[in-house]
Amino acid sequence: MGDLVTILFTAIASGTIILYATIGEIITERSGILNLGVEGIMLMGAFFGFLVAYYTNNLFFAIVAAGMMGGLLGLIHAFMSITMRANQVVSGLALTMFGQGASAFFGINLVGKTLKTSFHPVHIPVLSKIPVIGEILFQHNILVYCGFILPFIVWYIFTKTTWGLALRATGEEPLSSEIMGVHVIKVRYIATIVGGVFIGISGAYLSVAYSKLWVEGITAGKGWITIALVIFANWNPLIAYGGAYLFGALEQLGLSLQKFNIDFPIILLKSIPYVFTILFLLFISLKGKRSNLPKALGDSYFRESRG
Amino acid sequence: MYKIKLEQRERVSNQQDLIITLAAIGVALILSGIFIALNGVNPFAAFGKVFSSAFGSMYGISETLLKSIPLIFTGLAVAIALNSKIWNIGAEGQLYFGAITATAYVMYGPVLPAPIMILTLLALGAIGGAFWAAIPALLKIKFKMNEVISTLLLNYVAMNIADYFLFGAWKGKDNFPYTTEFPDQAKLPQLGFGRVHFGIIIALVLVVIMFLVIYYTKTGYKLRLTGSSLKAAKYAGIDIKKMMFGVFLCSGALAGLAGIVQVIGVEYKLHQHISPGYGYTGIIVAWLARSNPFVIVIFAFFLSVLLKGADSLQIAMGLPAAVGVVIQSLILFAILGSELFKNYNLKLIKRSK
Amino acid sequence: MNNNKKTPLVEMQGISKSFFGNCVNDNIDLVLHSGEIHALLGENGAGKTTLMNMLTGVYYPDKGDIYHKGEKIVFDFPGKALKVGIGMVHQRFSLVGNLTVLENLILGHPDNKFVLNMAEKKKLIKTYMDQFNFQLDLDAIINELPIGVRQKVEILKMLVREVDVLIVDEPTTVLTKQEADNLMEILRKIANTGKGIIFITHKMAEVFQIADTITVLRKGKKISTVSSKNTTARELASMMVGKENNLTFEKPETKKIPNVVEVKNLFVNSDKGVLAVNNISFSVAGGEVFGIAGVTGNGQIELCDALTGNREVVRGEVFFKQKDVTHLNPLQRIDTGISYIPGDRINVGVAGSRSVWENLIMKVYRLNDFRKGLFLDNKKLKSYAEKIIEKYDISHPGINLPSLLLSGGNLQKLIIGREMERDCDLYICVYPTRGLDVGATEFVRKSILKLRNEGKAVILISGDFDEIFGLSDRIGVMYEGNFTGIFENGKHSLEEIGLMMSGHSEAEAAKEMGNV
Repeated sequence: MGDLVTILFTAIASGTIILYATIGEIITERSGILNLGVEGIMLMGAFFGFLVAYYTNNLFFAIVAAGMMGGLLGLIHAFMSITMRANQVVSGLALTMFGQGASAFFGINLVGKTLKTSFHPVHIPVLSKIPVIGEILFQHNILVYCGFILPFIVWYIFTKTTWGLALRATGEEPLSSEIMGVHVIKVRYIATIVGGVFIGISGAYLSVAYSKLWVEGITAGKGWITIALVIFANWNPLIAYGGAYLFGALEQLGLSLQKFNIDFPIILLKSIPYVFTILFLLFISLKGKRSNLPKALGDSYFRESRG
Repeated sequence: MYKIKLEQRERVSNQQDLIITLAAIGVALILSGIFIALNGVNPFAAFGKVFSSAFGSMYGISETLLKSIPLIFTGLAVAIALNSKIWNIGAEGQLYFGAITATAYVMYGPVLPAPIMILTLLALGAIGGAFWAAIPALLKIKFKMNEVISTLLLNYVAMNIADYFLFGAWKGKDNFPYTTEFPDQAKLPQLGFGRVHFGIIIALVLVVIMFLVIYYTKTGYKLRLTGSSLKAAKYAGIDIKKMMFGVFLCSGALAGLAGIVQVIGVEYKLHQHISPGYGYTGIIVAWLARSNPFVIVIFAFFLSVLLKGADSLQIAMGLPAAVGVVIQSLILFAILGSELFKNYNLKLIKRSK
Repeated sequence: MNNNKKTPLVEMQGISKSFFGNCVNDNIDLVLHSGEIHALLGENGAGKTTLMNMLTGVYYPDKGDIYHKGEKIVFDFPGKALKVGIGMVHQRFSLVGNLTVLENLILGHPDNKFVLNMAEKKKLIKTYMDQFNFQLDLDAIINELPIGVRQKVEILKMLVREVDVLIVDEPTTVLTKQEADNLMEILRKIANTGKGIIFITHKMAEVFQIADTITVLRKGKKISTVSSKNTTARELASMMVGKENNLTFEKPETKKIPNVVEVKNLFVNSDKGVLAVNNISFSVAGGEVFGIAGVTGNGQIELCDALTGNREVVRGEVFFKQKDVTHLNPLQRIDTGISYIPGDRINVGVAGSRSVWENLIMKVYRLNDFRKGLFLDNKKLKSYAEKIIEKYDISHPGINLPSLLLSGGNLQKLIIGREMERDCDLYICVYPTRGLDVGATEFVRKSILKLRNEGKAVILISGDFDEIFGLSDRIGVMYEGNFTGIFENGKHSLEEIGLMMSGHSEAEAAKEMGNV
């Protein structure tokens, strides 16, 4: 039983990584911009967050700095996609490449270093004492707790505020929204930058709070899984919630199999998240259209009149 | 107040296209210089080193040529897909899977006399790569799954499978994750110029074959039409799905060849790092070359200069080799940005009330 | 019906617009008063939607001015029209599908605060709904609503934004008769509050049902503006379609080969899964031109797709030269001798970025004549292409340059030349002269007649009456997936055909026009 608790605990802790990134990418894609640079932004966030944490010993700064780095990278993608009318797929790929290279490049001196401070688990009074549930849910660090409530906040903004309405409309019918008075270009820039901020934070969480180290390529494809998870969650932050932790659990699947003495090559367990992601996407294709797929996702937008 | 108005351009002459592309590369190099300077290294010294390491000696040139071989294969692989508007981001994984498939034969199959052994390994490499590409191909054709994500995820899986064998059944005597050295019959002969091997002949032959197929065969015609307009291709009676599948397989096969050629031409064993991202660099080669087979060779060489230079910078100036990846991404950004100027005329007009 | 002598709500003066050398609006004037329902009447391609797109800032006029409440107005951003009070309900709705009705109505509204008080907004919307007697479920999601309801949301959207000019583009094409009548009531109510309405349509009956004033457009020109009280259907019909043209074509007697094409009880679905071709049966002989008239969207495209193999049929059969071809794919149909000259010549008829010669060989590259061992004999193919270029006098910038550089007329010559050289037995021509100049148009028509005279079967789908009348031996009028009439050319007048296109049966139309 103790093993199961550990597995679920770790599932939540590791799922939080993808959770932040998925929320960020949902915001961006809802505005109609496809950002395939998640992997690169996450790596830069992981590296930069670790860097700031290592040199300043201030964890708060580290997270903020990573967020700002992510926002900056999001701005670059927004500029290329919106103002320069570039192909969004290629821009995202270039951003990923850049992030992979730059983080490896600048982070080379951080490999093997350890942080002097770290996020300590905060046991929520009363709740953490509940048997089983308390151990799984309420003995995490503060970033995980923030992750508990983030999807709800974002959902609230989506559905109950003018901003959220404008965002959701922009990704579906940009021209009609513009006619109705929404400033599509502004909305898309902000959505892409904000998305980048969250993705940057997710990277910093990974390096500073979860793994507590930096190594080149530490994200190992989590950025791509994020993109698939956005589709799986039907662009709904509340579903992303469950999906992220589910993925966290999948990663622990390997451990579970071992515990239950199922003979499976350990190394191949690393493929599970990727294979399952493809299976999830397949499942979605079979089940039918995702009703929230932003109709205008990936299309270039032209504000000038047509002729 | 003035504002910039975009006016759609009908088309750009080949000359203008080239000028804009070169200008973009120039911008990218400037940005790269800034990037390098940020790390405390004199960018001009760095570029000088890159140039001298690539062209300054016979050895340098031969090594650069050596690095361009896999890039020609992956460039062709991505280009043939891109021509039909298919995004094969999985060339890296197909490269590894091709290498794995052929290595499996070396591990378990009988040694054959040299030419036959090499042909067998090449064929297996192509088949392995094609197989790995067939998976996302079927997913796209049958289930409309976007190939960007599926090919990408499979990259990780392919490298994981390589790890599985390298840390397991194929582990060498000294417990490191690489195979024992391949028998001599499996090695590609060298051409007497540094380490440059027969693979370059194969690559160039493939370039010529590609050119001939695309411009002188029925299949090539169908490819040209499909790549230009799906609707017109359908109108002409072409089976789009079959075309797509075939293109995917060829793309994967070429990437698989990149992998096996590296293994039997340079490494003589399989290990975790037979490719420092050739599959991804191939995307840039294909994008830059506009999918023209001969131009691919030129840009493959250009990018191998970059890769060779990055290696030297690491040795000589302590700059991490990742700088090569950064510069590649900057080139890609610059080319992307330049598309704006190819598609639109920019006009300055007075802002009306 | 108020005809205020005050400043008109909207005045469009001398509006002209051309696209790629093609004049779509030619010096058009339009005046709209408060309280008026003004119908904009004309056939497909007359220029009605384009004119209104300029009134809402989607396009800029090449010449002419637009005044709103007496002030000249220039639309410099997409939201300008709605901001000043001009709103348009397009044929393709612009609602955000995955949002609710309420969300669509309040989107972008200047009065929105950061946090939306949905209850308050609902109350506000209710007042509008009550005023105009709309009943809508504000929490329903747009994608789940039937089209008739969605249209109401579109109109309510405009009312909530307090427009004073409301433009509706062919609103009844997606409605049942009952819904259409309901719509007319609502529009009348809206006009009575002082707003001006412009109602785009091609249906005569509607015009008399609802309009105060009628402006008729034909081929980009304004024919006339009349008050609905002072005109008749017959007069409007002749304004819409023009006088009987003296365009005579030499049509010698041909020996007809019967039943080259036979269509039996054909049912075909549209992309939306609804029946677009509804139990159609007809036959075409070799040596005749069968002209299909009808407003776009009545199933012509789907019928054409079924004949060319681009669409599965739900039920029914297609026979070509007595062989059942119903389930053959496009390539097989090309091989049996069916030729298709598509309406979308730029995107379908050619691969624009490929060269002129590559496009000329599109249907013949598989023939053994052009094989050289394993390869294509490019030299032979190019000279084949050059032969066609010379024979059909195709003007081009270079045989190796992309086809998209060709002018519309030359592009059509390319396509027609390519197809005619194949010597097929059936030619399906869809809107073949759309957007072409006089010279090119003449070439196309002469070519169609040549094919007919050589004994080929020709199916001509066109919106151009000169063409239908000038070229056809027999005419079929298509309406809602079936033929309202099939008859020998000459049996009915233009006006009767116009009525048949609007749904009248052959007998009814004849009676209406006194041609019993």
